[in-house]
Amino acid sequence: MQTFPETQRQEPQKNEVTARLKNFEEVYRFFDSKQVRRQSARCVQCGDPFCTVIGCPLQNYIPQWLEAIAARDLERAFRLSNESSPFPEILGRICPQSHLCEGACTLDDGYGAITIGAIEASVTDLAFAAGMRPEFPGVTSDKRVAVIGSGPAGISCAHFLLRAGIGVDMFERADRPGGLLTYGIPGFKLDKKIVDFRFELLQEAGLTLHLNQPLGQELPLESLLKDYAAVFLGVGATRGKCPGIENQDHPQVHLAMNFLTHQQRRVFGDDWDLRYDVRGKKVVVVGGGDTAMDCVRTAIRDGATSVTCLYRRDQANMPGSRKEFHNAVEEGVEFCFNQSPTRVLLDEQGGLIGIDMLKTELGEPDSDGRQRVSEVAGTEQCVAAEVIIMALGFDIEVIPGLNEAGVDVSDWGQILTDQHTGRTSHGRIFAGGDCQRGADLAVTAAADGRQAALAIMKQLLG
Amino acid sequence: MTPGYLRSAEEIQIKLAQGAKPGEGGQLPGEKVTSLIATLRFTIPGVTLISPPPHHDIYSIEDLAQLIFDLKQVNPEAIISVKLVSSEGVGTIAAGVAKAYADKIVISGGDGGTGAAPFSSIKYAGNPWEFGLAEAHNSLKANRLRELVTLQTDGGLKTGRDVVKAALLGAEYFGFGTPLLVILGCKLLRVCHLNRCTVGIATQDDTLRGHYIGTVEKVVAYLRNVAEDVREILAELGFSSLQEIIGRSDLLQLIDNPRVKKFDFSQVLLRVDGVDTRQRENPPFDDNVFEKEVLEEVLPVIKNPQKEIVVERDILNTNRSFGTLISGQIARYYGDEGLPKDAVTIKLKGVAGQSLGAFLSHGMSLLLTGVANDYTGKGMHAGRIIITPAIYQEGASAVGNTCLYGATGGKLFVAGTAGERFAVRNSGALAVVEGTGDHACEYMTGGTVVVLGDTGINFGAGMTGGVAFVYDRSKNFIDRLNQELVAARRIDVDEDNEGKLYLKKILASYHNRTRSTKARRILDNFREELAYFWMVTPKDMQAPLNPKEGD
Repeated sequence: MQTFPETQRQEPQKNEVTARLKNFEEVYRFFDSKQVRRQSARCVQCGDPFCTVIGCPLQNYIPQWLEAIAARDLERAFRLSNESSPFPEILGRICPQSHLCEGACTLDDGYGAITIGAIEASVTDLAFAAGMRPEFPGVTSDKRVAVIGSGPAGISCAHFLLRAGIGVDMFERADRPGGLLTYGIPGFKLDKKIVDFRFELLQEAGLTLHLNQPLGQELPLESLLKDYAAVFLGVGATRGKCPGIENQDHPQVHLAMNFLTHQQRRVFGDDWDLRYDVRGKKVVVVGGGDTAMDCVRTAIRDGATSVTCLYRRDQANMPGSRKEFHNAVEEGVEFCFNQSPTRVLLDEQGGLIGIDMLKTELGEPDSDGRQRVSEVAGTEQCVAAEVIIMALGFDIEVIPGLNEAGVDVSDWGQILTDQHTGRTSHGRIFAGGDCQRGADLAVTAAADGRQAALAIMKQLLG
Repeated sequence: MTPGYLRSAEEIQIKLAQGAKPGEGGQLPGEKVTSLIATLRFTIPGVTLISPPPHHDIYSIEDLAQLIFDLKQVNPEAIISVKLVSSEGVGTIAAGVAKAYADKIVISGGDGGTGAAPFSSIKYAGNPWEFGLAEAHNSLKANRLRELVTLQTDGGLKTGRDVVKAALLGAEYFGFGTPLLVILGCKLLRVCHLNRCTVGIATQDDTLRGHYIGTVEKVVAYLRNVAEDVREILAELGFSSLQEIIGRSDLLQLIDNPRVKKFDFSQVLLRVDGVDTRQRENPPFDDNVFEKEVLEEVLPVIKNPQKEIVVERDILNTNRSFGTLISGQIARYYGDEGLPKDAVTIKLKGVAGQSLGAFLSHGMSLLLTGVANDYTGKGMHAGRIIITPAIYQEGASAVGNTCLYGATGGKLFVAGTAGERFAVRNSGALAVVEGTGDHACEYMTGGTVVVLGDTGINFGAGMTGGVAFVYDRSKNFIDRLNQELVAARRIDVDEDNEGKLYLKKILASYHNRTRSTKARRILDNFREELAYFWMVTPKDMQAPLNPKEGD
């Protein structure tokens, strides 16, 4: 260990840009066992590991599995990594590590952080390839829990409940499970086979999956409460935000999640709405987060003639993962920073021709530490566009039946829960992930799911 | 310690132990002892160092008084402080230390602690400074000693509140450790022992040291903030200076908490009548007039190093640390380089007191006809001490215990035997004696020791450098050698010309100076007598024999 003065940080190799634009395959080629050892051995093994304590919402045992894999003990690394995380091979791929573990790594100032994300993904990939599997005891309890939503929060909750021997019925409104992991995150970041494999493991462990089952009249919350000992809500925040500008309802102005979902359906070979086809079109994406990066990179793979990203702050203030921004730049996306959209421009026939924008200035940081944005009058300009995609974050949809069940929600629709257990004002309903905290990361949703699972276990098993 | 180093100090601390790791001390692992560090610490690269090392010259409060006296001679301007650990009974020790003429007493608590300590010590050892400080302060007051010494405390002090609390319990000075490291960039990674500190503090690696971001200004800014904090608390209490609240333990109150009620704090909060701060100097009872007079005589030579001088004196065993005051004066002007060889020769007759020639400087020769006491040549750096008893008798004792302890150079020839712990931690001196007690050459890291007679047990324990020759006529030496790190071999073999020539040269020089009949006899029959000699060297390290020695 502590080889950081001799060994440099080495990111996993990426496929060539020209090759990767032709398909939706994963961009990164993760480490083989030798590379993963070399990179892990750089770890300082800090007495109070910042990566775990400050960096990771799941408090993963990062230094411990780094030490294990550096000592060639793949099994120990795999078990440690899967102990606290419900799907390390997925989070290793999609977490914005530069803001989390790798940003907290003590080596991040001046040496290059440990490649925690890539190592995390590689460890479980290598272990799966070697035939190792996480251990589940089988369903041993007569109590069952209903999990609504099959996204990161739901999978996490189900995973930990199944590890305690509690059977889980999972209800998903879409026709494939995975939620955001399936339809929100494009295949070039996360291969869908990886998500499917996790569901296979969970189903073997005792998960029953009910697809095409939205909460509502056919599946009222009330009846779930009758049939199950506890209910976990992990339905996410899926309602895309709009900027509230003129002509934003034009049929060629899309919300990011709809665009990504239909593109993914196309990749799967399922039915999809041709409206979301961007082949041969000029595309403008509004927003600067990870979802915006997913949209621009999806559009460019789908064959858009040009893809431009408008963001109202500057590059340094982008909230998403740094590596995804760099990947987008490599793939030919153009960025217009400090631009705020003011109007969608239509021609006389009502066809979309572009978007007007104003230059912005950054002011003092607000209470979150991000700089305030103000528009500068008289700096209007227009970008030509045939398709506009709004990737401005998400609000929570209204969840049917909550009021009747006596679950309190905030003015913004967030389900209010106890911060240590995820329990709502109804003693048997728990919630976590975006529907509880507002749009956030997959890893925080996983942490919520785990916390709720532990509380449910305590409640059901004592 | 060298005379130049001691003389350059404003304050010299005798660290008996540290609050965070009592009984163990910090460790500098061998991997971090580079050749630069080894040079600075007079040791061998790659050998683990502990700090503080056991004080082989302090076995009682009288020994401590003697060390304080030695230090006050070599550097009369320096404040001598003694660091003690907060514990039950520290008040008694503090009173003893004050009576031993220390200027300052440090009560060290267990809450601090660096990465240099073993984890078990950081976690489980040490007491809070509050208990020890209160006990020491009250004990000193009760014995009317408080006015003679200043009190300092340390052990996890971080804020103005800590400083005010320490002042109320009797501290006048306040030590900061860990927070300053943090200000300088320390992230508490706890890898200090691996030489891999990413912020360039606890490492000797140049690349890593390039990442060091600490500046003096940061430390100043932090301490200024602490002071500002103190000022605000004082203002709240209605005082205008820290001086006004020192020892005002009556201003402290127990908080209302059920857990507090389980303990009896009366001893901590007790306020004894008397002054709460240092009022006057604490000079040793012995003002060393004897050497001050000699110094007056020698001063022209120190001022004009071209000159040479020979002084003759009768000496008594009440004349302690002779040669140290003069050495300190030499070091004041010339540092460790000292004066030219033979600049100052002092011929003494009689029985010398303790610490004859302690911290001796270059250019000094002490020629004693008679015998000397404990600590002869303690910390000697250069020059020579020649001791020839008035009536020579083979096997008779001529110097006491712990001679040559921590010596860094110079020559000690004694025509008689030495006591226990001879040449412990010697790192450069050449010595010839005619016998030793137990533990000779323990922890030796350099230099040469020749013993022309029997030794005690545990010879060469922990010895990592230097060389020793032992004349083993009675053939029992091997049983007395601690063979953990060293090995003894014969030098009468053909392959070893270096060893035997070196020894012969030393013996010739020794005989020349002392006229020892035993040395004469060995030299006269050198071929046969050589068969009785052992040469002891560390197993791992090849100790270089210094061909310049011997004349």
